Amino acid sequence: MSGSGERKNARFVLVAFGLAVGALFAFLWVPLNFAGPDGLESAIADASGGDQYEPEPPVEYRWAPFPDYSMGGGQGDSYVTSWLVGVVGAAVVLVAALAALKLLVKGRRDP
Amino acid sequence: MHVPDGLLDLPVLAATWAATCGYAAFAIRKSRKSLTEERVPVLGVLAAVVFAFQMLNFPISAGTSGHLLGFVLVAALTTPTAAFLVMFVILAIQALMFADGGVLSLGANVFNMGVVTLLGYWVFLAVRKRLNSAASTEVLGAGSTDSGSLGPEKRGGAETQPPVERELVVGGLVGGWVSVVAASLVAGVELGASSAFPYGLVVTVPVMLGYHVVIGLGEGLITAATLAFFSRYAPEHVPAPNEQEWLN
Repeated sequence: MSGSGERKNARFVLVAFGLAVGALFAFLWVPLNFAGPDGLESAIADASGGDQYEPEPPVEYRWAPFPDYSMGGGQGDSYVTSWLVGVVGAAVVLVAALAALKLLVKGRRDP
Repeated sequence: MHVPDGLLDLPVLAATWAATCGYAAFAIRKSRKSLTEERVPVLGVLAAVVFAFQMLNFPISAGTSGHLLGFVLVAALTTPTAAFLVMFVILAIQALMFADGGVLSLGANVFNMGVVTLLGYWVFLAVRKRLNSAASTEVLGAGSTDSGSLGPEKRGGAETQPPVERELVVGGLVGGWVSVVAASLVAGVELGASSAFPYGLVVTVPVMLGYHVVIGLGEGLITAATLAFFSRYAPEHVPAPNEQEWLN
């Protein structure tokens, strides 16, 4: 890649990185952040007439390290711990996306 | 809109996994041809941006919250097949690390938020191309070429801050809204068709649409604002309308 191409990419990455950091800080500080049920959960509650409908999965996945974006099973969690989990998640997504896409590009069969 | 395990029965799970795997094969084949090594960091950071934005919930009504899906945002800045791959990675990590959405229903979630949302991208592109051609005609009619929406060389080459492209913002607003409404409609159909969920389509579709037509407004606003931000500060990375394709 040319020097100008690298500069353009670096600028984009910097701008996007700034946005990600901004969003994570907004999560920490913006009081509007709201932990109510999402649209699907509300729709399920409405459909079932307000009952607490609890689905029973045939196979239960129990190995999520941060279930519901919490540490330690949600006990003693605060806004800050949720934010830390978010930072970890963003880093993991970054690394996983980079690895998957690199693999895709490297696996290309050149003509 | 992350469907947890236990709500969808085997036929619905199998159908959505089959559709997702089929589209994934198409997206991988297309991206192998079109994705360059220098675009990989850009997509990686966009994936992290979308994940971070998904952490931000906004209240809508009656104690319900919404958050960004992000497909139209990524597709508008890259390609729809690359956006699908980014959504796949995000949703897989959310299911495996955060139990946000089921592991068995990952196929349905990726289908809803990475394939059905393609409709939102198509609306975005149609609006953008239509407004762009109208703007170009107006500029030519006025005998001037001073427009911020004629092409990347014009937008990216200027020394001064380029103007934010109006058609990009309007397209993002409408496309973002359509993507959420379309995804919620299909999620409602999946729930209603599933024997594991005791309520039929007549119930599930209207309640899903009822909430998500409002959540979609948030999606449209965030998509439009973020596209405007990129258009302002990294315009050379916003593809021109004639560079964007419908499928890849």
